[in-house]
Amino acid sequence: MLELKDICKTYNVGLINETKVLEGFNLSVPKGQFVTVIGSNGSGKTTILNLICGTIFPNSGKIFLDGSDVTSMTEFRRARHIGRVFQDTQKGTSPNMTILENLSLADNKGRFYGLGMGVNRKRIEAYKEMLAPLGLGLENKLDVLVGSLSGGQRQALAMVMCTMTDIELLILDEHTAALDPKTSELIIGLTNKIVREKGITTMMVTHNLRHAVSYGDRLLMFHRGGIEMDLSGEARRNVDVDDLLDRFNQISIESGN
Amino acid sequence: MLLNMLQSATEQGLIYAVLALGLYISYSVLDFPDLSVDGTFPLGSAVTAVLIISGANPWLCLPAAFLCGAAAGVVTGLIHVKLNVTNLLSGILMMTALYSVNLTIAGRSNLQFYTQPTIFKGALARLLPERQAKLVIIILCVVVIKALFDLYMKTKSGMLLRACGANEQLVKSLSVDSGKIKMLGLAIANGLVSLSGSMMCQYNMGFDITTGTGSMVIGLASVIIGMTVFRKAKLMGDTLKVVFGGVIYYLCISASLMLGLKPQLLKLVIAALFLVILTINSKLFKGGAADA
Ligand SMILES: Nc1ncnc2c1ncn2[C@@H]1O[C@H](COP(=O)(O)OP(=O)(O)O)[C@@H](O)[C@H]1O
Ligand SMILES: [Mg+2]
Repeated sequence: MLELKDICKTYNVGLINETKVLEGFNLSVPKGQFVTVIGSNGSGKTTILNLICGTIFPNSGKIFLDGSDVTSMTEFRRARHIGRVFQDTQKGTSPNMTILENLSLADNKGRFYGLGMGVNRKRIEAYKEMLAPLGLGLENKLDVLVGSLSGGQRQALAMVMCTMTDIELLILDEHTAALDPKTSELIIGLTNKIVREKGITTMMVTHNLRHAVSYGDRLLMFHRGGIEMDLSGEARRNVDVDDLLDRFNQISIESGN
Repeated sequence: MLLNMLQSATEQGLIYAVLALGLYISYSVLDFPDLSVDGTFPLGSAVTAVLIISGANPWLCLPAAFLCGAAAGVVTGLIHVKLNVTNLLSGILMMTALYSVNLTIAGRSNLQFYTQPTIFKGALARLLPERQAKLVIIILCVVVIKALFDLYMKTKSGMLLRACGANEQLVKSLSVDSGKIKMLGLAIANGLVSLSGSMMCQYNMGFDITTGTGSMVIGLASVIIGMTVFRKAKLMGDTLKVVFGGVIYYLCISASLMLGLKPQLLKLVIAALFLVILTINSKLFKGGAADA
């Protein structure tokens, strides 16, 4: 369970380029909920995700993860409980290492990285079983350098890596935006499968309205640092892409652009 | 005569190969152009000279030098990570500070110990044919250091170090403090540089404060030469390339001295050679290491 209480975030406080993004922002996501988030550029989506992950810190307000206050916890400590996939397909893996080495690193998350052998050969079969369902043939390329994989393959690997250990929260920031349409479908399908199988609480930002309505239990539309629309249950099931487009248009007319 | 010079150049090249392994960690693995090596190389020498003169076992000087260098590397890391000083400046600060530290340790700018035992004069050396003893002992040291280095790079810790240079975000995502990993990498890098300084000091039977100047350039040039010359050798590991790079580089330097280069012009030639290497390298791999 994730909770943001009265969050205020202003970038560059006291400078001429001071930007107030959030003011008294509140959000509560119950355990196991899959939330999709849409909103125009600059509406504060990435800011929220960065605050949740500890990449940046709020000027005021509190953040709770599973009941404990993580507001001032550093990013790397919080990462113990959070998995994250970025839009940038370079960010989730290490290009100078093989698929096997990348998986081995991720497999050890939460434990000490000491002088034990980095790759545990006994785990290879388990890794292959994780990769086979992706349908990308990665299970036969364990010794290939990740840097030579396509963006889609890297993103699929990143999804597997960040969900292979137990996490409480999965954060996805436009993680299919840099992919071609076909690969994007593949990754979103994979995402849905993993999230549902493991029942991980998830926040997924997307610009793809069809993805936003086809996946998840709850839909949020952000606008200027606030939640413009929050749909779940019946209302969430009945919404379609056209409704969202209408709402987007309405918002931009209201804000005069 | 020529053979003798070739042998001694190879010996010194191999000692510089250890320095190059250190640079390989900071520059290639961690992507951190660390200038503190200009101070940690003579640090290893100073510590070794003082220990040997006070009667310590010369072999023990090697780990002692490694630890001192590692400590200095940690400080460079702290300056960079905790105080947010850029990587270049952190190294420059450390290099400058170490100049005084080294002089304080040694007590003066040079120290000789021609009569004291060194790793090249001990029991092991007496077992070997006199003319090859030094070369064999150096090869032995380099082989052991390289083997330990390769082994470390395959451990969990070593793999994390490799990931940190390529993608710091991944290290954070794995719930590890990437700042600590950088410090660890700088510790190992400067430990190796200092170890190289210790070997060189025993080889020359003396410490000289000026030996540090240009260490960074020597090490970096070796790394880049090794990686460039052997770039097509798929079966050759990076560390072997770097070791050979160190030897090739020093052979070039010795050749220019032999061909009548005035010693006072040496560092100028070293810098010029480095510039040539950088230029060739960035032409070969667009944007390669030219931004060093
Ligand atoms: N590091 C930063 N420094 C200053 N302003 C920022 C920074 N990051 C984001 N902003 C500003 O905050 C607002 C929200 O940005 P962001 O959260 O990235 O939006 P979104 O992800 O919804 O496109 C924008 O106006 C943006 O310019
Ligand atoms: Mg964004």
